[in-house]
Amino acid sequence: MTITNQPSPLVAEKLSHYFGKKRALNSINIAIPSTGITALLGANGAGKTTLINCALGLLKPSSGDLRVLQGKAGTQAIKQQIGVMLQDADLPDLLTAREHITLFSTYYSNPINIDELIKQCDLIEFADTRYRKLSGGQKRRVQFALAILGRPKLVFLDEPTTGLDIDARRVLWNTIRELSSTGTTIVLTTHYLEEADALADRIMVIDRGQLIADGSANEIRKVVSGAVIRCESNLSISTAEQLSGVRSANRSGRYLEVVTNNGTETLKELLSKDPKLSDLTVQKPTLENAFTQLINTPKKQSTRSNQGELA
Amino acid sequence: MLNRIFWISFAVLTLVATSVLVSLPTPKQSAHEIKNGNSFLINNVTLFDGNSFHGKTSITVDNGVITGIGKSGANHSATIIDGAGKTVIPGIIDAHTHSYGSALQEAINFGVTTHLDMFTAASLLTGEKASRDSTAYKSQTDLFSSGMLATAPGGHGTQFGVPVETLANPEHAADWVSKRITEGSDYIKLVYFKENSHFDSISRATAAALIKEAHKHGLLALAHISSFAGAQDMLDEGIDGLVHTFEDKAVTPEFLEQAKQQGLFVIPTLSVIASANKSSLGAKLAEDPDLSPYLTERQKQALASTLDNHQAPGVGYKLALENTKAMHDYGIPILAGTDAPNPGTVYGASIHQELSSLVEAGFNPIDALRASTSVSADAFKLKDRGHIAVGKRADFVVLNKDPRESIKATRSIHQIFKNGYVVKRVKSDNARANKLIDSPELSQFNNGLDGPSGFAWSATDDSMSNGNSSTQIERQGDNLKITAKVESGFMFPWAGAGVFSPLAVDISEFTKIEFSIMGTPGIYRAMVFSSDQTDVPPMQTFTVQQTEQTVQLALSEFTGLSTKAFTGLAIVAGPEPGEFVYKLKNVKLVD
Amino acid sequence: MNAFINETGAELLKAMRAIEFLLPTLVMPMSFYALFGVMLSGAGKNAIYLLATYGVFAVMGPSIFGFGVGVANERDRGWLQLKRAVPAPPLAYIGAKLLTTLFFAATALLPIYLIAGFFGGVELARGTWVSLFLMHLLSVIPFVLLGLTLGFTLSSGGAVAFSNIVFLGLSILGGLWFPVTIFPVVMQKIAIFMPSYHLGELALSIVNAPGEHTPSTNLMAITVMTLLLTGLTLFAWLRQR
Repeated sequence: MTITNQPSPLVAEKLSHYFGKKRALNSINIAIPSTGITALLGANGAGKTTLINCALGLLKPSSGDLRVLQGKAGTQAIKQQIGVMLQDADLPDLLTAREHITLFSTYYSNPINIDELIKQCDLIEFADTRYRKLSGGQKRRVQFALAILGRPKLVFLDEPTTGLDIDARRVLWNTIRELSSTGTTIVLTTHYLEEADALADRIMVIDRGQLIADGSANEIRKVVSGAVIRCESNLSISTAEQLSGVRSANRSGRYLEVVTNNGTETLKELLSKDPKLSDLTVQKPTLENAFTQLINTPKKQSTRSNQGELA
Repeated sequence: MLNRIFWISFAVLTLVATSVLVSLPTPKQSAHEIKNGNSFLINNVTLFDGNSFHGKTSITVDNGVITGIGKSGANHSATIIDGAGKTVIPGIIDAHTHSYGSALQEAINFGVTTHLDMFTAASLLTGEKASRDSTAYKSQTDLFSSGMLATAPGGHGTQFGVPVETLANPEHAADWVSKRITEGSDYIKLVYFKENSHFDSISRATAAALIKEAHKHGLLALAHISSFAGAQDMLDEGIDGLVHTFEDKAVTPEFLEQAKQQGLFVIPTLSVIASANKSSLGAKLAEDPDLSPYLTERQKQALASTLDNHQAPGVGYKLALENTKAMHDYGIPILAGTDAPNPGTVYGASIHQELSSLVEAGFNPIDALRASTSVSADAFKLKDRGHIAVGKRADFVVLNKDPRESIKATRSIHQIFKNGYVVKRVKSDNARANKLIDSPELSQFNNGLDGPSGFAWSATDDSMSNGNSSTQIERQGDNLKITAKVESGFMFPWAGAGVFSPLAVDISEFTKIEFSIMGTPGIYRAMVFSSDQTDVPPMQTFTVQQTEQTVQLALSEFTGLSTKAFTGLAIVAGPEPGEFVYKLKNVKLVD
Repeated sequence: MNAFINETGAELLKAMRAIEFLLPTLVMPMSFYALFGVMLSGAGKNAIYLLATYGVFAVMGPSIFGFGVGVANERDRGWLQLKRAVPAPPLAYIGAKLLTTLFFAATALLPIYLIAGFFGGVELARGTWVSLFLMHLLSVIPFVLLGLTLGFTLSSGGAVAFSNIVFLGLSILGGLWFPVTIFPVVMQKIAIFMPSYHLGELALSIVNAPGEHTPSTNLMAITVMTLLLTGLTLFAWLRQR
């Protein structure tokens, strides 16, 4: 990846947004890299979509600073340079893909030629079918085509693959990668770690309206060093948590899952506590482990700090 | 692609909308009316403005509304009409009519521009209300009406065969009145008989409740009464107006005083009272040289007929005149109304009789004119008519003579203006004298199918009215053999033979039709035709047997036949369906 | 301008492809008019009165349903949100919907005029026909605002139900089917607050049929109501963001 001096296309400083009393963005600081694919990763309700909606001008931030492409979010000039695929936006059922694209192309000053776009996004076989009759994956491809129609510098993809089967998801991933390779900056939100892992050059983990981790997939993964031990065991979670080096313990069915800083030590103690344990695996932590870890750890802290602020 | 849809859609819409709007029908106006419009100036005319006479003056009309009286209009740019020698009076108001059928077209022909109707079909009202406030071109009389009348089950008003919503007790009054308001009634008319053997009547309490309810809604309450006692009851209950005078008893001073105090007005309807008293006023009116050319044969016959079921001739009418005069002298507003189309009266023309009767009662002509214009408008709170004044509707009648000299001058009409447009008066076609029929022998079947005066025999059946009947005729010696198949399909199926001519002839010197007939037994009909008919032809029935018989039918029994404008006779089978074979001969008119 | 024309084209296309939803609002006024105004009224004297009020009735359907249900539906599916995120001209969507409404309002009106003129015996001066048509077309404005408010406020399911209530309520209480004078006094009082009632009276005044109020009173009432509805619409619009 080339490092450039281009300014960040999306900079948020101490950005907060409230829905009534609910704080969706909590004084977040964020700077999206000017190239590549950035994934905003977080659970549902973490604030990813709120951040994107602020960047699109759909929401007015309650406080803080937000610069989009060095301009103010939501102006026609900025909108011209942005493409977007919203999380829950469905297009009118009774128009065809070609008609949708025709209509949207009148919004942009320099749109891609309609036929080229249809070819480029692989819409040819269903370009003249009414939107209602398209499959979920085809619908997303039409929405994606609308997102890139105006030759945007910056594209927001809000949960682009939600609800798609694995094949449709792979197709869309490829399309997103191709778009990135043309130099377009892409910001996608997802709660699929797999998606972030597969696509993103940079992952920003958001939780409760704050940025809690920022780095490449590997860097995020490194947050959790050590090992993940998984075995069939009757040991209680509380017992497992007291083993040396253990950072967290979870149970899923008969299986116990323990994340530890020191795999060797923990394993020894575990075997001595429950000699009958079986089906044992030891792995490097996955992004999912990291993510679980990340959003669990600061939980108590942030709750506390919130209380402090509110008091 | 999308923009093409936009342009095509709106281009098509614009085209369609334009062609629809251009092709939609507009009111028919003759070139004459369009040319004259409803803006003009009449100069040098004698004016009766509804109250009093004014010497040579001018009247300015703009778009159907009077905008100036006197010298101010001298510079008017529109059409200028010289009114020298003429007299202008307001459009006449007939304050008691029952406006059915072509009433409004007929009435305007005689200068009556407003009907105050006292019972007609409610369905008429909505449309008439729409047009009477307009100053658009119109050649009909404006209609105000009570709509339905309030009467008891079996009461007066129920005898005509039209559905009547009766009411039995005072509790129904509120509901009844609110229904009238819904239908658009302009005022409430009730029928109250204190003592009358012919009809049941609503009770006094019911009448009182109706009056109260009408007043609650700001409507006038008017009563049809038949006696002084009835009138007194209604006066006591606060009635606003009587739609007839009483003629059983002379009015008392107490009544006069009470009526004046309460502001009662009376529409005496002397014309119909005269008819009920078997007077010949109607028949004489039909012969009036000024009116006669505009009266059809049907109207003349209606005028010549009289109303049945009443007291001894003469007495009632005389008393009615005296009561009317007494009330007038006491300052009670008297309104001119005819009760047309009762026998002896017709729409429009009869108002001229009513004016003459008022004068006969002792009114001076000016008061009679007032009774038919301003007094009626004021009593019914009609703000736009009854007077000739700035801001009023340009409804007026231009007379050839001055009615101060003789009230009969109102019959000599020069022009009628409605909403400022000249009304084209319709002369009766058959008023022109038709030729007398060449010969009374209508059939000469041994010679052919021709009759006298261009008449000719032919088959006739309801297939011309889209019925299913069929007919064949064949000459056999001096007989005409008719094979008629009467089939249902038309409302009144018929099939048979008739003798017709496109040119009307005068057969008034004859009194009967005679012919010989034999054939399939059953009930047959004779139908006669005259040139002024628009409706079902007058007819009589007779029975036919296997053996030959001679049938005589009186022409006078064909109600509505204009004997001066006879155009045809048909002798037909029906309406019972079936096949009829009959032979006809010696069809002739006899004295 | 190009965006606006395409937007309108798209709206027309959508409406024409969903004609099964639009058809009742086009056919109902026409058949009601043919039935009550021409076939049942006997003398045909009501034809002119009912032409005025059924014309207002006819434009109500496309206005209230097009905007109420249409906007609610497209808002529900996030379509409006997407429109706001892209550089679509801000008023193009509303403008296109309005023009489409006018298109279908005219489509609903013209058959009624044809029935009135050629079967109901209604004869009006050419200028009166044209002014009546324009007046009827302009009647969409308050109803469109009402429809927009519903569309911005309700879910698509709720909008369908509510639009029907509003549509029937305005028709009946506004005296568009039958003159309000046949209703109980309480309902007559309610009519005064119905834009449909005043529009009906204005239309009546054009065909020279007198209403119960002067045209200027009607005009004032309708202006006040339109302003209030504009406020309401703006409020609903800001709230739904």
